[in-house]
Amino acid sequence: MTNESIIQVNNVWKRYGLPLRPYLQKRFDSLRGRPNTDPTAYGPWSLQDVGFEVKKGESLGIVGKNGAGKSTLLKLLAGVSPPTRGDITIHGRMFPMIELSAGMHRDLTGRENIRLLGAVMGFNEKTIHEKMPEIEDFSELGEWLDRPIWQYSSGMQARLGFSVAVNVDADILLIDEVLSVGDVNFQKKCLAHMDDLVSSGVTVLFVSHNPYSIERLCDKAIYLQDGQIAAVGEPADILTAYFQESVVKDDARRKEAGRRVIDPELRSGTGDFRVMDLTLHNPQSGDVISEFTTGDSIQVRVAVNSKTPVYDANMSIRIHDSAGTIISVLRLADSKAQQSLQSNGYLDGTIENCNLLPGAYWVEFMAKEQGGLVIDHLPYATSFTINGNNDIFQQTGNRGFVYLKANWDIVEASNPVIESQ
Amino acid sequence: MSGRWVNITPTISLQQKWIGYWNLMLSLVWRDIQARYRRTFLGPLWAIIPAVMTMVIFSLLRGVVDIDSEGVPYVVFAFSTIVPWTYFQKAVTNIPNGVISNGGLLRKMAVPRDIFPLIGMLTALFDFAMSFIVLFVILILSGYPPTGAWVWLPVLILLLSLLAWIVGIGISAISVYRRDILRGLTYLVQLWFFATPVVYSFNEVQGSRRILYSLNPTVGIIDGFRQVLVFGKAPNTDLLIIGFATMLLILLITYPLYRSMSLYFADVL
Repeated sequence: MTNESIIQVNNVWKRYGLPLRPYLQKRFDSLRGRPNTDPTAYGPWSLQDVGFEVKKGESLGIVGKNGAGKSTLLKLLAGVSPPTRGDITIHGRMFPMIELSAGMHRDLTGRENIRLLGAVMGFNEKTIHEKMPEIEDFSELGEWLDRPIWQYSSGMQARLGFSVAVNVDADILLIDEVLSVGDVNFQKKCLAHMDDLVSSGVTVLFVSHNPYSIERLCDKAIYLQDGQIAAVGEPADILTAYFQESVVKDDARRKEAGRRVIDPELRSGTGDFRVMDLTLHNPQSGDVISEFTTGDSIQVRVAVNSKTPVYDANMSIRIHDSAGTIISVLRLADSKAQQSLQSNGYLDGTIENCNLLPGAYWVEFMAKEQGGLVIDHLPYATSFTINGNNDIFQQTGNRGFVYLKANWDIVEASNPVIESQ
Repeated sequence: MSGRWVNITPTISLQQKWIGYWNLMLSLVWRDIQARYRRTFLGPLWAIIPAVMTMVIFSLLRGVVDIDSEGVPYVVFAFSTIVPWTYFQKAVTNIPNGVISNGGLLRKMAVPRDIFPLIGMLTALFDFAMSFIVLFVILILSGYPPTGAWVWLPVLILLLSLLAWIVGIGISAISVYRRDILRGLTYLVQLWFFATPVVYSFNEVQGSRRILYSLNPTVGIIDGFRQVLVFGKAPNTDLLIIGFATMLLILLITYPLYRSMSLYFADVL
């Protein structure tokens, strides 16, 4: 990695659309003798005073909620839409994969579209011809390449686009969410290939809702919030900040609704019994808390109110990460739980030594009858955060989901080959 | 006060860059030509059908209304101008439609905005070449072989293309934001058709109206095609010069308009 800067973004502001009307408004205001000097005036601004620098060979992840300005930023970097203020300097060849079907034509075959994308990248017929086998290979589309792409699934289109993207020898790749469409195997392949590209010095700018792919691929991340840079730094720190915010928001929701964390809009089920509340406690003191440390035990208390006796209910609690991936499923299927369903009361459980790594987690509650009919379903019953400690961070780098405790020994041996039996 | 975006790629020379864009434009033209006829039975025949249909319609009309063809068979008289006119008409409508339909590319790639109008024009030029072959055959069969005046053809084609481009970029610049012009374009072009000596002779317009009529740049060019192809004479250069002056005036408005509006195409397409 050198110190050469490959992307420079200085004080960039973006407002979509023609600048004519805001310009006239501004003129009018100053003519009236009431000039508006607030830089945020005459909006709406999609990006506000964004500035950063990417060095050669670095890869940058961009996180943020929908509407935070991620795609706008990529569009500006790609040079398709001009910044309203500020300047952007790009050094090198860039391939933007902003949407799946970048410049493809639906009536043309896959192969014809590869040629077209090659031409978009400024390749001549000869170079495209040389690269064709590699691209065809990577796409794994086989005979589909001779069919028009309107027959393709979105995953196949993504394959085609991605195969071109990674084979065009660009210095900079801009990638917006496109990975999420392909199937798992292809995603893996793309991630592996991008690892290779990054280590060979290609600069990757990566927008994703999947935090783990950002953590894995990027050296640096930017957290965008309402069009502004909320934080820049190590991907792990940025992702923590990103998730912290969703937890803070949830806390606000809890306060608003008092003790009831149950959002009636998201709730479903027959209603034969209802979960009144779902709380997490410190098992020693019994206090309701929402922050734990890796390795702590967590007491779960579910307050239920049942109208009619329900037998053989199948209840479970699922723990998700912020991206919605199920981390663990806990079944509450023992007989004691079922008896308590005939009246009001609590279901108490304890998760012993919860080895989740630091992050924000959601608790989902689901109760089904034996036949599969849903009695009560709360997709976001509550949430909690796990804080780490230094020791665990040393061992895991806070990557992944769980902390698995391991003990290591050093054994001296003259011939260190493990014999298979 | 406006922002700035620059891409500095020292490994690629400016010349290479423009060759790249040229290749891209040709591929896009080829893509349009391929894609256009892909889901049709008649395929490339559609390149010539519009011109032939216009000719059939006006030949039938001539059975009812008296149109003077100056002693030349009407098919030859009319087809020699219908073919270039159809090219002009297609180019003018293709240009804004091409800019809009390439929105996908415009939103994703930093390609110079100037190549998009050329795509529509060159696609129309391809159709023109196809129908010109038909015209050529008709001319030969009717006893109007090529003459020395044909050296004027490239000039006329160039002028007609230039005019279509000038008008097309103006319409594109506006229609990307508001589609009104695009909706009304068919009718505007139809009006223009009757204000041009395509199906009738230039000599039908006499007196003081003629001055106003000559300001229309298509008059000199279309009449020029007829003079060259049918009568074997050079076009009326006075008409061409007046028309060219009008064209330059329109260009002074439409090109700056297209340049400034095209910056924001990605924001609105």
